[in-house]
Amino acid sequence: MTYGVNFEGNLGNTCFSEKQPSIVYMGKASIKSYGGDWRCRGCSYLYRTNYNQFHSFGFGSYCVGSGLNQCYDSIVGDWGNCHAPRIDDHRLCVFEVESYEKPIVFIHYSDPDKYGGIPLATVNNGNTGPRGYPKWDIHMLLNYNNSYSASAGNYTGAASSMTLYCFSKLPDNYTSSTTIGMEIKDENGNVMYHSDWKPAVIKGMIDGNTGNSYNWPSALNVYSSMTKFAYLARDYGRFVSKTSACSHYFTFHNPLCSFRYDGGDNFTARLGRTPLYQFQDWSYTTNSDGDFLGPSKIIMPIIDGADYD
Amino acid sequence: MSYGFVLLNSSGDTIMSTEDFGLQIVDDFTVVGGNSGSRTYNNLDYFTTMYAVATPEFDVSDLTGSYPWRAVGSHTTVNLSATTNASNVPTLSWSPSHQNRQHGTYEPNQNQYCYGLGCEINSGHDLPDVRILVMAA
Repeated sequence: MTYGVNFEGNLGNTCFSEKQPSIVYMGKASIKSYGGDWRCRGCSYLYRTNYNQFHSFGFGSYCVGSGLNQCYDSIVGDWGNCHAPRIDDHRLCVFEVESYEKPIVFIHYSDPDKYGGIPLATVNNGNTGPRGYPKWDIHMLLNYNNSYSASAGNYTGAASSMTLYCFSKLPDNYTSSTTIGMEIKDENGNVMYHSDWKPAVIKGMIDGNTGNSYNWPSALNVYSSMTKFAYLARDYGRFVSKTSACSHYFTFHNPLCSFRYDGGDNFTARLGRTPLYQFQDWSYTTNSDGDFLGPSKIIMPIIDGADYD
Repeated sequence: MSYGFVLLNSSGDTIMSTEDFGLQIVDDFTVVGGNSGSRTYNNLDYFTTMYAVATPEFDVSDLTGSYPWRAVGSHTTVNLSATTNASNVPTLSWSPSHQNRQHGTYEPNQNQYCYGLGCEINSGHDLPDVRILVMAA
């Protein structure tokens, strides 16, 4: 650099500078509402067929009432599977948070072996919070173990088991009411960093491909000091949509629902409503229909939620 | 510490130090699913690494309707790649992700091959938008 301010970390990384706005902590999202049970929606409902596949049946030509007994599942290859248990193990939950811009969400799961969730969308809900920033709805597809029971699953337990740490770009033209601290502006006078806001401190960065042994940038490996492992929320699975003359349905192929942190640089990904699977289980590349299910690149920043509690 | 910086809050807690890894936002935008494009970033001369994350943003009207499977049935995201020129200026590119090779008629609006009643139901249902978050450290 020939001029300006740049606070550099040991790895040569820029911790903050006058060049780009920092990512700062906005708060935890709170539970706002729950969606309905997905088990039975007339002729369209979601059910689990295999370890990690979820089918949604809809509009079968022979659908009558709530039954689907005349539909043929071409994936399962069995008529009878249309009667698969209608398990209440998925439903939507909307979380809400006030954030300057669309929040960047990191999720911590307190019970990742039992509960998880898949982020589906984040939208401005039109309201304004006490700090004057917009409120955002974060739509999560909850994933909870119901032991194949037809009774209602513990969706409230699933929602309350997760903590959504929300970050945003530092507000433009931020003006502090305090007289102490540090502020960095860019050449146009925009605030790039202000010590009033807690910055996102990244504890590690998963950088790898599904289906292969994930690698860890060892220099960033500080996980041994972590207490509340939280990863950047997004869907790291892939969807495959299928149709047949009888129905349209989709499969989630190994959606990432939660992480269990095992200490050191070890973790276990929990995929779908399944027992624990490792990343290596994302390895298959095609299915019988030729759908491409090959490895996907993942970049996954990690924070310690305890830094923000 | 014998070198570097440490930033403390008024309680004496470390907010950030030389030991930490911070991220800054370079760009945050949404693209239409199935589209291609690129952006070049000229103001990253301090930074050593650029990270980009693509996330599907499903239509919430479908999430709350009678048939939530429609929302997640559209299934795709984008592939990301980055190159740098001779001056080490990065360009981020995105393109449609894997397309299914389902037998049947190709339906461009859905980025998939399909036929039968499902196609009819899903006609006009576009791919989800994709949020691309670009960060640097």
